[in-house]
Amino acid sequence: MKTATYTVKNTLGIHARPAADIARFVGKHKSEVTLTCGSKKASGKSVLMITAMGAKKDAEVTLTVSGEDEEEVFAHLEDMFEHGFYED
Amino acid sequence: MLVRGNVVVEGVATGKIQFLHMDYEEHLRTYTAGDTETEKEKYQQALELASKDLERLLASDEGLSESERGIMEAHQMLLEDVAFVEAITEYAGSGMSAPKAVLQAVDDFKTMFDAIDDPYLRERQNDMVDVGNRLLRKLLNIPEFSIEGEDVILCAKDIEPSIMAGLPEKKVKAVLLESGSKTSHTVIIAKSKGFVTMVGVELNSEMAAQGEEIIVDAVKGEIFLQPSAEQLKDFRKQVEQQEEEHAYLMERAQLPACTRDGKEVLVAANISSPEDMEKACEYGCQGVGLFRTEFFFMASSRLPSEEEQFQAYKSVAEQAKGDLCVIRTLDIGGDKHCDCLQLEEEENPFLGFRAIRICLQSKDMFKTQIRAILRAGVYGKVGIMIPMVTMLSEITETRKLIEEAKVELQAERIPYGEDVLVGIMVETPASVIMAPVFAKYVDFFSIGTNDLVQYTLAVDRGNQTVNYLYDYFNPAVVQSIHRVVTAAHEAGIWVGMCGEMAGDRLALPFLLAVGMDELSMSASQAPGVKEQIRSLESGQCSLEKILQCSETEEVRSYLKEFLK
Repeated sequence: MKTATYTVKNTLGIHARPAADIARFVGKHKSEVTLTCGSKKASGKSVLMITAMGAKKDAEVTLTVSGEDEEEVFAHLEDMFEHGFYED
Repeated sequence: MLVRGNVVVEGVATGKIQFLHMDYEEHLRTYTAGDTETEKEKYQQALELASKDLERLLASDEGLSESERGIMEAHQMLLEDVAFVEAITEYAGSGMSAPKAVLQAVDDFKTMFDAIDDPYLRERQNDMVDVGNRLLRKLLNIPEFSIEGEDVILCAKDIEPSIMAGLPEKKVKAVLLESGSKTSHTVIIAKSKGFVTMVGVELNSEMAAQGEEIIVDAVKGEIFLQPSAEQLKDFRKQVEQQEEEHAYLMERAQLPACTRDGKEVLVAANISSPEDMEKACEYGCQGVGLFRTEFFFMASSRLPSEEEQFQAYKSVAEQAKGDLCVIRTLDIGGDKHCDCLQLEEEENPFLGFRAIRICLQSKDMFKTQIRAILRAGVYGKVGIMIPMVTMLSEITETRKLIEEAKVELQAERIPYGEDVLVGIMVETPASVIMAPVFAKYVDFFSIGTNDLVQYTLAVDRGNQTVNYLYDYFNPAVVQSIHRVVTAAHEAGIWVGMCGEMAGDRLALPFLLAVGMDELSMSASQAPGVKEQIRSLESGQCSLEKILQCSETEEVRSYLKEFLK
């Protein structure tokens, strides 16, 4: 299992587009992915839940990945977070 | 037999009436649930069927537009979203019937989204309901709706947006809805599909049998049941003419509107939501002359956030592809109510607390809107337009707020458009009289004829006893327009018009003669107006003659000469 906490960097926060990007990517892989923001928890496969976390700019989001392809999945998601979902 | 309704999309149509019933409650009452495993199984089957339907819809070439496709894709994502699937399965596993489990899950998500400030999620609430209904139809064995035969006139209480989006444009000639709203999501889609549409139509299967031929005159707002052979023949001819004319105009819609002597007039669109832009571009509108932002404010019980507004304005600016988009700040009050602002009842609402007066009292709300507009300026050419101005201070105060907003945005390192234009609606006698002064403080004028006529002639157009006085060809209005245009041009700014007069064929020769730089109207009028401009000389109508008229009828009869 791999876990890390990131600060949301892009202006709009984790809105519909990044949420869909995350869910689409996770949906194609085997690992279980969970995102946590404050008291809210979301499955990495659910656009609805990810968006519903309401993670704004500067919010802290904890990412947990576990499964056989966790290395690859984690690295890709980390890249997305680090680059503010390539938005700004 | 004659039935009346309110016209949303003008036109005439003849065809066979088809009623659309979607009575879920009746089916829910008679639904017999099995044990938990059976219900879970039923839901799985329903999910598969619904998902296949959407796939087929997306794969078929049924002329889906971009926005319709977007809605369908969102539905597919929602339908298959793990959290949604899990919620329904859990409810069904705890002993609920499959349909109840679906309804409960839809309800849960709606409540959850309500709590979050995100425009995407709020929009998704309606889609959630649509998706739930799609599942219900499968569970309750309600057949998916299909159009029977050609030349169909569809009649329903209301139609879900997703069903409306799936209606084939070649087969459906008109849509008649009982629900009254002209701004519902469904009606927006009907408009963009170009269906002849009327709302507020009370028509049931006792008045006309399924498949019976009827006539829809959505110019006058009339529907003829059991028409005579002669009536049918007459209307069929009208429909044919309408189609020929439409095809010709659409071919030429993207050409500029230059008079025969080479003077170009910009023809822009009046819109109320980003969804309107698709049609505006298709109909050859050059940008937006009036974006009515009331839409967001009236659709919700709370104030729309900066982000929500920004996304909408940005979308419009982007779709205009470099053409100017004039965004009018909140014009609420008068006859426009709004739940999110608790406004008190007034005895004289049109002379009361409305538009810029409200905005300058609720500066936080106003600044939120201004910030959203300024930010949208990064994505295209954008203008801010202030409604109902009567005093210079209203302009200077707004300008001060705009400057404050810019400083704030800069400090927050949020990008904004530096060169956002600032203009006013000229729609009160005070602004007409003061036009030479106001012109020095703004970048443009836009004449709003609807209110200008009402205030200049002191007449309420909604009042049946006096509305015969309501006429923009009244010499007082004509002279006012001349004064405003002159003042604008002397100050070196441009002037447009965004009221109903701007799309009136009879008024056009005058509007060209007086020197209007821009005319803004609902998109469907644009191709016709552009064509008319191309057929006229700018000086064909004598300004001098018009200004000498002392009676409304004199103005009209002079202008009628140019229609021949």
